[in-house]
Amino acid sequence: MERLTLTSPEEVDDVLFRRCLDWYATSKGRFSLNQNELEDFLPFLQLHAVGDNGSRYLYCGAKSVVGDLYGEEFCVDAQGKEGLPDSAFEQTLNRDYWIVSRTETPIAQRVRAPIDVYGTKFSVEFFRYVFPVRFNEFNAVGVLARFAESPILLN
Amino acid sequence: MVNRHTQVSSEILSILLDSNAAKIQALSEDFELAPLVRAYISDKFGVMSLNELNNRQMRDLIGFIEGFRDLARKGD
Repeated sequence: MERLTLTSPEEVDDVLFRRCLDWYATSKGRFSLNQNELEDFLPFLQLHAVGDNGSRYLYCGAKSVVGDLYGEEFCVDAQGKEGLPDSAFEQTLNRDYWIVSRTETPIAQRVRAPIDVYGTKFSVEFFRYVFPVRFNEFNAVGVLARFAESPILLN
Repeated sequence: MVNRHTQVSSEILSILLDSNAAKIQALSEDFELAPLVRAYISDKFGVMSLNELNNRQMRDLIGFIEGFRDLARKGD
């Protein structure tokens, strides 16, 4: 897996990615603020509850890259699950949720990695923005991932 | 008799729907979840408003919100 930190995430050529950056810049992750802007990209978002022993899905948007890879059914039933079925892929990316949650500082990356989708292997390359989200007094982490390239079949 | 039965069933359903809608509103207000509720019912049921949900779908949505609250409590 390759992960490259984006020094200028606002230059990513993706409208939803930039909308998400704009929303975070004005709301600082408070879910109650600028909800019209939030709803533009919410169906593409993943939300995670983060604890010391890992994270669990609060919500997985059906239009997220997870939905593209594993299907909408996985997303609508994702709440409470620890992550993607490919646990090696999940564990590596999951570590950053804890860091973002504790430091309350977003990260932006370009990621390239192999992923197992129900027995079929793909190479995926995507941008992701991982940012703190606040629901009243409860802190969570939001992830917006957008494909940089179409997934490539490896099998 | 059939009409009376249908009317009573309809009234019970209406009360259940109203009761569940009120419960959903109360539950979602705690965590400012209105946008998430809209996204979830759009994802799962393809509708944009609580008014379009039947009673089974409303119970599913209550489960989603309660699941969210449980996860939030564990993360505290």
